[in-house]
Amino acid sequence: MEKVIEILNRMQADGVIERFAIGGGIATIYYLEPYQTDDIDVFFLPVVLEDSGLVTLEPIYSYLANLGYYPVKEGILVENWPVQFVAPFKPLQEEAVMQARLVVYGKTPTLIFTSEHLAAELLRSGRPKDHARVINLIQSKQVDMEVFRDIVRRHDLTDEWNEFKSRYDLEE
Amino acid sequence: MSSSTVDLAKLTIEDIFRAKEERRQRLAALPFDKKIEIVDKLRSATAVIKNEKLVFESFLKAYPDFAGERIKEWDVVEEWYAKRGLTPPPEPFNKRPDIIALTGSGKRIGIELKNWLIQQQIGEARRRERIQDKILQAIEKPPNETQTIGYVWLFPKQAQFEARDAEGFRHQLLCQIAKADDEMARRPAFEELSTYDIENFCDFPLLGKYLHRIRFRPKARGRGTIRWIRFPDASRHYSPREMLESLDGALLSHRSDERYNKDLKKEVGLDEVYLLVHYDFKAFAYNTPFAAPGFGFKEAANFARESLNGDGGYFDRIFLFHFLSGQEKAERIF
Repeated sequence: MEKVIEILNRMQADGVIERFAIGGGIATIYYLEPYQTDDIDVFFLPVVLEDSGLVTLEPIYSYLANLGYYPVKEGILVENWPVQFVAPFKPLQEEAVMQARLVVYGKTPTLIFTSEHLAAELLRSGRPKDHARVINLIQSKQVDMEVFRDIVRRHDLTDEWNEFKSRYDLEE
Repeated sequence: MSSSTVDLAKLTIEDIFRAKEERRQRLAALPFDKKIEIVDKLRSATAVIKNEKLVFESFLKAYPDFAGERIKEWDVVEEWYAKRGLTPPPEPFNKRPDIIALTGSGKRIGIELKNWLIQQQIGEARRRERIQDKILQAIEKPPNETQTIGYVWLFPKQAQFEARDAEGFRHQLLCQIAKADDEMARRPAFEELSTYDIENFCDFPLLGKYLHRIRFRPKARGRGTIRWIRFPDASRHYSPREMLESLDGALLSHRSDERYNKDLKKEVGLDEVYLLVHYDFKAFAYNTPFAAPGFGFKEAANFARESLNGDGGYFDRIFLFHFLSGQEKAERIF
């Protein structure tokens, strides 16, 4: 995976993307135990927007195609890892990219969602497996609850959080 | 909780949960790269199972009566035991053969899957791809501003491309293209459609370091604008001989592979063991083709049958399977 991170860093240095951070399963594994995940979710801030204001993935796809990496399913296969590029469509995701935590994988630095942003994003996406990860993150004391509650409040997730607490019988 | 301290008679549900939680915490405390190593192993194990399932599912569609009767149920070996709550046989028989199937009449069959490919060719092809990627990256995407050139083909040497040469290589290549463009423009009209080759790079040492040859195809035969600098298809010139030799070698070594001797049937409880040799996309992409004009899958199967000469070794039946989407074909060769 180190090679993938090197390529992502180079993409950022070459101005293909403004900034990126790893979220999803890989970020969860950074904080919790390893489990099977098939791809790397890369949340990125785009350099260019189309006239319509939409984000285009074309510069990413053509940059990686030039390096010999081509699309598979929803992502691009880079060094045997399917990488999914996700342009933030919620302010929460954008903030998660901007405030991501610097970590080192092998010898290569990269940015990963903070555990608080990760938990909030998993709460927002709301699939049962995401909820299970939120519980694990909180129970393993990886989440600073003050920070988390602040993120939840600022990003209008208070209702989801209250429902989550009552559904899973969670005490604060 | 180590195994030496466990008294099974006193084990409670709470103990199991506590042990699970301790294991979870121990794994969570591993360094990030160690965790990803575990993820990688989990991914590749799943990928192997997925691939075996895919191959066998497709084979079953192409040849439903391969066992002489219909198959009632089947699974990849690990799942065979897990799904049915069966205790697997001791190692190494718990992972052999790849597939276990039960026929309508209750016969239990094991099927071992093997690829028909030349591993060495795959390594060479991947090395070649890596070199080509580095060269493409170095030259970026210059526009075709030549007067006479339609396409440029680069014939790379098997030399590792060094990043520090990238800029110099690009510059020298563009100079060489400009020079060839001038020379091609001065050629007489009757040579207008001929390709023009350069093999001597004394003015451009970096090109000589990485390339055997550059071939310039004239614009009159088609003009490329985006991917106009490219590499020749490595598998253009071939004979099926190499692939058939590899099939011959593989069949002879598989049939006498001791891992599938009579102990396998006894330990796993199988009535019969089959071998399924498949030709799939990996071989198609990286190996020289086995097919040639007048020689196709049927002929390859006949060749394999003759190679075996009526001797399947430890296997009761052997099949050859062409596993390419839309072209699936299977033949019994023993």
